Amino acid sequence: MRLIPSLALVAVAATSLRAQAPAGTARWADSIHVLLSMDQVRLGTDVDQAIALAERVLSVTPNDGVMMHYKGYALYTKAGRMIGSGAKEEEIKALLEEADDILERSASLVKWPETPALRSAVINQIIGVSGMMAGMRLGSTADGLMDDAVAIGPDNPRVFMLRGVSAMYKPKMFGGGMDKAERDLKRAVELFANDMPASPKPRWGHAEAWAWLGQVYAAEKRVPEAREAYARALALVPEYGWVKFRLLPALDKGKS
Amino acid sequence: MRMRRLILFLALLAFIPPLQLAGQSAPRLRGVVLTPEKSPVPGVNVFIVETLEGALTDSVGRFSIALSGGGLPATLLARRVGFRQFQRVVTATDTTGGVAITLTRGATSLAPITVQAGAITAGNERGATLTSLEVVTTPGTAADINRAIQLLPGVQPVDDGTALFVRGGDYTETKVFINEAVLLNPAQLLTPSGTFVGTVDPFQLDGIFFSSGGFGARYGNALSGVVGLRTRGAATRHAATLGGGLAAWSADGALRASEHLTLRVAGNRNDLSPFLRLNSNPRGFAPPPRGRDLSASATYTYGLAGEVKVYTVDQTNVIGIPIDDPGFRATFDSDVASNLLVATWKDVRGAFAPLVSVSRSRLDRREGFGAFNLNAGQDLRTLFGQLSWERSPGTTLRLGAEVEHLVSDMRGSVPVGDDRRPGARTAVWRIDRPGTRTGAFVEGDLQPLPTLRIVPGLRADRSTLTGRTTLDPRVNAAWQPGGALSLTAAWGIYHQVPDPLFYSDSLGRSGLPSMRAEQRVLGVQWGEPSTTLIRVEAYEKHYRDLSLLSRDNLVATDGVGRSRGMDLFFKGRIPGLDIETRTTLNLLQARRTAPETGTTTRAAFDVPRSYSFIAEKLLPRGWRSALTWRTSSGRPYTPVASAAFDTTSDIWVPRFGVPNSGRFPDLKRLDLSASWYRPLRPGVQSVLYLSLSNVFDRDNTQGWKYSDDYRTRTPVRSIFNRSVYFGASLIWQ
Repeated sequence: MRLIPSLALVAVAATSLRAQAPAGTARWADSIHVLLSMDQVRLGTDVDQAIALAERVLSVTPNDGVMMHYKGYALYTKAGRMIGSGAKEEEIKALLEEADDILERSASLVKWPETPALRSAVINQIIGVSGMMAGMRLGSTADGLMDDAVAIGPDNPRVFMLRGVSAMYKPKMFGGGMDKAERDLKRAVELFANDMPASPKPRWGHAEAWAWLGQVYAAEKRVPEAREAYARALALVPEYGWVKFRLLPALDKGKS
Repeated sequence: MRMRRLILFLALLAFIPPLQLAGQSAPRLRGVVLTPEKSPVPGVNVFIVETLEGALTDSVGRFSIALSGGGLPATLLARRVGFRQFQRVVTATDTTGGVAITLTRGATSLAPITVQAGAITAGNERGATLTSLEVVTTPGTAADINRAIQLLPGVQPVDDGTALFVRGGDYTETKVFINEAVLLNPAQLLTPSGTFVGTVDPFQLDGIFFSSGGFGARYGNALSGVVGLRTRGAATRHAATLGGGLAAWSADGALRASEHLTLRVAGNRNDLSPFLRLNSNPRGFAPPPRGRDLSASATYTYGLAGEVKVYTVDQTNVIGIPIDDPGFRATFDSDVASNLLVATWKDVRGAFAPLVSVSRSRLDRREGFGAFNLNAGQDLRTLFGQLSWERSPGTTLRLGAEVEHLVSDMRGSVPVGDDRRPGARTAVWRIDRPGTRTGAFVEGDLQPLPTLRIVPGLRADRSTLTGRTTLDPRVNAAWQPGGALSLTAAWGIYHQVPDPLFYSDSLGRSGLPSMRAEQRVLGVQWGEPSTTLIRVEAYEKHYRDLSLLSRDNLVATDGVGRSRGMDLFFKGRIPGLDIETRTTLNLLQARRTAPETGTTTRAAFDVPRSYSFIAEKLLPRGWRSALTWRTSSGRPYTPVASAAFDTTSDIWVPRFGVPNSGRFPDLKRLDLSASWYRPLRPGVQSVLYLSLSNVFDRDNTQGWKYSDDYRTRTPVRSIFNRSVYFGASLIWQ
């Protein structure tokens, strides 16, 4: 029953997007932000709508670095959803490579710390689906981009969130590990408390940071802390589908 | 919780225009997207260009767009990857009747077609046929770029060396460019049976372009093939590598001085002495091959695509190889020193992309064997400029010009007649004539259809050595009728100025014309480089005005030739085993004028069949194993028919049979390699590697050693006997 008001809300928001007139990059960025917020709830096709909207804008203003960033973020979100879902490796890789290309172009136009951080995360995912040889080839590029992101955004919560997520999946000997992930994700959620960027700057990530932190706790069998972190995520996005329908049930079943 | 939902609800309401809340229903544009076969197309992005209102089609191809942002008529656009873009004007009547859109398969808008007849790319950029790592880790190549290129389609394994014999052409007909500058010595450590190593440290490269034929008008003065090498540019962070092996030590470092500036240095020292001590020295090298190279680069990046790069490399190599010539035994000595400095600037400014390269290179060679003696110094200065203009999507025009100024100061002596012993009668020659070649080209890069790419071009060259101007029209086309299939074709005229040595009055004559080749290539390719790729190309080349050096070191002119053949390349994974494979098959028939007789016969590099298979498997815990199996026909040789004793010079004088009528036995070789990649701590990794070359220790005959009277002969085996090599690298990054 709790889902009904949220879905109604989503439906209204979706209607708003169709009705929106082109009024500059900030409006479109907000629209994509809303779509991706809805996607967190529904785990459905809103991410495709977000990508489609970014493509529409870019078809008219092909050198819009902001829209490139959002398209890259949407592609990264979609690819992340497909990993582990049984989707073909080639399809995931194609999405990630498209994300990498567009984020690289975006980085040359817009100096946001989130862009190199996202690119780093995207490249790490490419390594994840491609294997060790790709790691040898691309690992230093991903690390270098993350260094750049931290250098230009030392207090940016999304940078620390993405670095923390990368650390979760990176072996310790490559500079990853759960301890580093926890440290970065804790730093991210601290920074999110005072994070109020003006549109069209990126605003995503707060609830995700708690969800990822919860996963770190869950992986270390720190169940009460994991449950608390998921609760903090749900407090921000009450119908956060990923937390509600996947992470929490997994925690209840004793899986990380 | 309810309060939070209310806040979220209100936040989302902020995006909703007041009219929507008032409940007015906007007119809707509905429709369906189908293929020409009436199948629905889901996931199509259908939208109004003026307002960007749009929708994605559902599983049955339907869409519905609320038209609240602007009036009609308006422009409707439908796009989906794999289909051609649809566009039409919609009017008010369409809101009642609905819109039916038919999408035909093909590229969306103008996705660039990168397939080209004859071309293979290797690098880390997407779409490259091979990665740089795949190239340098191929077993049996000793991380040598030239040896790795020899395993690509269209290259014949003629001898033990690193020279590139491409599709029935001599190795001097393939030009190597580094950062757009011509490399004077693409192969190092010269020996009579081939060059020993390539010139460029492969770990300093991040891109390789190889064309075995049909290349465009940008490349001049090359009859058969071109290799384009691109050195590494900007680094994302500081990095360093230290490597050591049985025959070489190396170190390199990258310093990211700022966001825009990267400095790199690299040094290599190779000495085959320990390698030959461990594996035996089948040819008795004295001294064993040894050399060193030092390189440095500075890369400055700016803006969207601006880059200024300065690269320099300095190299020395020496080798001595004993040769048993009937009547005497001597050592062929080679001592080579070279350096190169090249600066490039490239940028993209709107629709224009300028590229400028300026270089200076120096090559000093000293070679000696018996009465033969060469002291050669060459100084080459080049200037190359190109401007690309993307007039519209799918229409690019390239204009370029280049100047090459080569000063050759060569002097030496060659034996006259059959006596090649030290002190024998020789012809002394010297050439210090400078030669300047100027060239200009214009090339279109056109995509008249989303599936068709045509690259027509014309280049003109004039050389002060030939005193003539040549015109080379060329065209290259690729058609992608659907799916992953590409059909390619190329035709062109190619000219090359003969070696400056040939203009010496004692060897050749002045005024020799440029050599000419006409190339035709037809190919088919299917698949994607990152997964499975199969490529088959057939070709035919006709040569004329060839200048050829005879066995007696005299230049024969007006030579003709013809080569035809087919090469196949397959790259793919063996299902279920996770083994990456590459297979190359080359079929060739090459004929040329024999400079000794003036008749047209088998070319000296006619290798009718060659095959290579490379397999690579990643194993758990950082292990990687690979093998290369190669087999080929032996190359032709001119047999000795008989010999007569010359009492004047006190030697047996051979009488040769039909040029290139003999053929060495088939060559077969298996090489294995294994490496172990292990991260030591964050930012520090190690790689240990081990290789075993010529596992079955095949002789792979490369020549004949004759008795003094030429009555008996024994095979001269390949320099690659069964041998072990190992080493390690430490990487900081």
